[in-house]
Amino acid sequence: MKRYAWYPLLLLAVTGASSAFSQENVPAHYGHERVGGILGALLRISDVILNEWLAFLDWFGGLWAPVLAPIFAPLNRLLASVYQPWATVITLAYFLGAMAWVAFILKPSYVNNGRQHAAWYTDLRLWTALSMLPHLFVYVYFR
Amino acid sequence: MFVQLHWIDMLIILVYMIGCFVIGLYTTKYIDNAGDFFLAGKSLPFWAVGFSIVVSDIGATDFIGVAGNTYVNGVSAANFDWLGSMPAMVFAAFVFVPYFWRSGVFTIPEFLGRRYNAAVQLLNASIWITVMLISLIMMLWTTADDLVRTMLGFDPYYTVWIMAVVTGIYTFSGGLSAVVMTDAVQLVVMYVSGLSLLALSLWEVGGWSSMRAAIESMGGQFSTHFTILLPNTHSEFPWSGIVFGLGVVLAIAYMSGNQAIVHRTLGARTEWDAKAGMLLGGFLKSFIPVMVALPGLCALVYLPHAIQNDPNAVPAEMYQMVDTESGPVPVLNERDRVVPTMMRLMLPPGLQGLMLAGLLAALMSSISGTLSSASTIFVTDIYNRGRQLLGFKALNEKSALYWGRGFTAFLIIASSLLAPQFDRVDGLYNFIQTVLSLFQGPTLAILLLGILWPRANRWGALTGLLLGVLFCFAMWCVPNLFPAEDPFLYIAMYSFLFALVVTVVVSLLTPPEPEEKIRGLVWSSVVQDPAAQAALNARIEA
Repeated sequence: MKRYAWYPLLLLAVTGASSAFSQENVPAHYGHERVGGILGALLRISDVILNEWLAFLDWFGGLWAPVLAPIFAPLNRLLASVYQPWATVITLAYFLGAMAWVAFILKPSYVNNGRQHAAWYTDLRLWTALSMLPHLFVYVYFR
Repeated sequence: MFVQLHWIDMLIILVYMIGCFVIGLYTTKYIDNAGDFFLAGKSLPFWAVGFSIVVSDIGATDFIGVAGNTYVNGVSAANFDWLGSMPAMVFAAFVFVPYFWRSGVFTIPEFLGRRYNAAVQLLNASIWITVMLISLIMMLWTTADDLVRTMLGFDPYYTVWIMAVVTGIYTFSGGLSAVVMTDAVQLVVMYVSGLSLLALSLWEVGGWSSMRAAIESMGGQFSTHFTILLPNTHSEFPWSGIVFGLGVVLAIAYMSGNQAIVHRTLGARTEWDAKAGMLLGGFLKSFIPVMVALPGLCALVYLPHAIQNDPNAVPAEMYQMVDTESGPVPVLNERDRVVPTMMRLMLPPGLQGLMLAGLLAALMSSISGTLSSASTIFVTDIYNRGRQLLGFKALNEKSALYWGRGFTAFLIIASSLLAPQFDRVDGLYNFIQTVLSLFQGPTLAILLLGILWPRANRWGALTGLLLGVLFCFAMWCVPNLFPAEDPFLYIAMYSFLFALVVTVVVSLLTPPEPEEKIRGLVWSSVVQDPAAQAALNARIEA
């Protein structure tokens, strides 16, 4: 089994090396049209697929625009009207809420389930709070 | 114009590459079966889990992409590693990871398969394989084209294949053990090089205060460079999208439902190690913006001076002059070329090699992590599950190991072949986030309901996931639907809500799952049911 398991790896090395060294004077900015052989054909096929895909995206977007635009326009206006300082308040509350949830709401036995040495420095409630404190400073400093 | 690497630089890079290669191959001797290859034999301590999560998550795309975003948008780009990491990782550590670890699964789709059914498992696995392929391609091409070509002038096609072969070989041989062991080395290299770039950048611009004053004096588009939560009118990172889309949906979905992240915790030796590893990962990730985002800010001050002193320091076609309140300032046209340009202009011999090794470390760890996770998903959730559904026998340990290695090789070859196609994509960080946003919201909705709400059933999950992804796709295709240019933050937020509602409604309209099927897989049964807890503990010990 081990002997055969190396075959895909060999294929990887050979394909990579032959593909890389089959090109001559490749410009600094890569161009598909300069590549020949099987690799060139594969790249040109993928070009066609990509172009067709982009055309499909345009069509699909046009199909949904009349349905979705009236739904999201009022939601966008609602969010835009929210007072900017609320952003910092909500973010700080999010961090503090996560700390409080682990420290006070979850059972300590659940938080530390599976630990091999019961000591204060293996209590994950402590490390959760310590890990989150710097973030509070960051969001206050860059408010 | 390109860097001529000193022999010291070459030596550092060579030692690093050979070191990773040897460590990766050394772990091969511990690989006897699929459990060793895919989950490192459930033997990982918390520090290895934490280190591996960070370096697998932070790729060269982050070094380049986040610095580029900071150059254009300021510190708000750092939200992805602050608001977008720690709270989500706390949530993942205490809500999702214990259930994944206790249920003894190899992958997240496998968990969904047990909780719901095979259709949900196959659909989720297929989505992840596709996304991982795209991520691999982006990682390879970004480093090869934006980094190595800008710095050294090497042809990107050669670079892609060299990196693919080196990383592919040790992942192919050692599986998750090789990934985690090399990740520990790569973390050290990455942090030393990143902090060196930061220290030199700050030194060159006269320190933090001087840099901040210089950027703020430029006014106009640079006036909000030190505001972390930008107004809702901002074209890229409006605060409502950042707080609700990133913080509440995308980040939690990424940290809890992404196999490449959760994979390491599944290989932890105890549940405590899995949770502690996740927390350590979140803490270490907090330093990433300091290393990768601040050099982007320094570039705004440093590059004008460099160009003033030497007009040929940066090719004229790579930048344009922008009028600011402190006079015209040269600004690079492509944000993703900021870090490579800084490295080329600023770092002395020795540090250039170290920095390049650090970026290669970031890249290789991400590639190997993604390869390992993708092969685990393919074998567990697509090939093996597909065989069972078609009536064939499940793969034995040896066959699973063989298929895991084979798919690893296939994936890296396919990624390398397709990499040049991504030459057309600018703003790669946003592109990857957009791809992720297309299904992260719906996936989080069914995962969350699956753990927290016993009434959620297979029909609800399948409909929620399918319609949720379709809804995401429709939102993505309609131009100017949201105020942001790249609307991935809003797509994630609304698709999560949409999938949540669909899953709840369909679940309520269809029969519930049998109680014995979901025992031990939902929060209430594990926390409140001693029998379920005992059964899970027995399964772990077995």
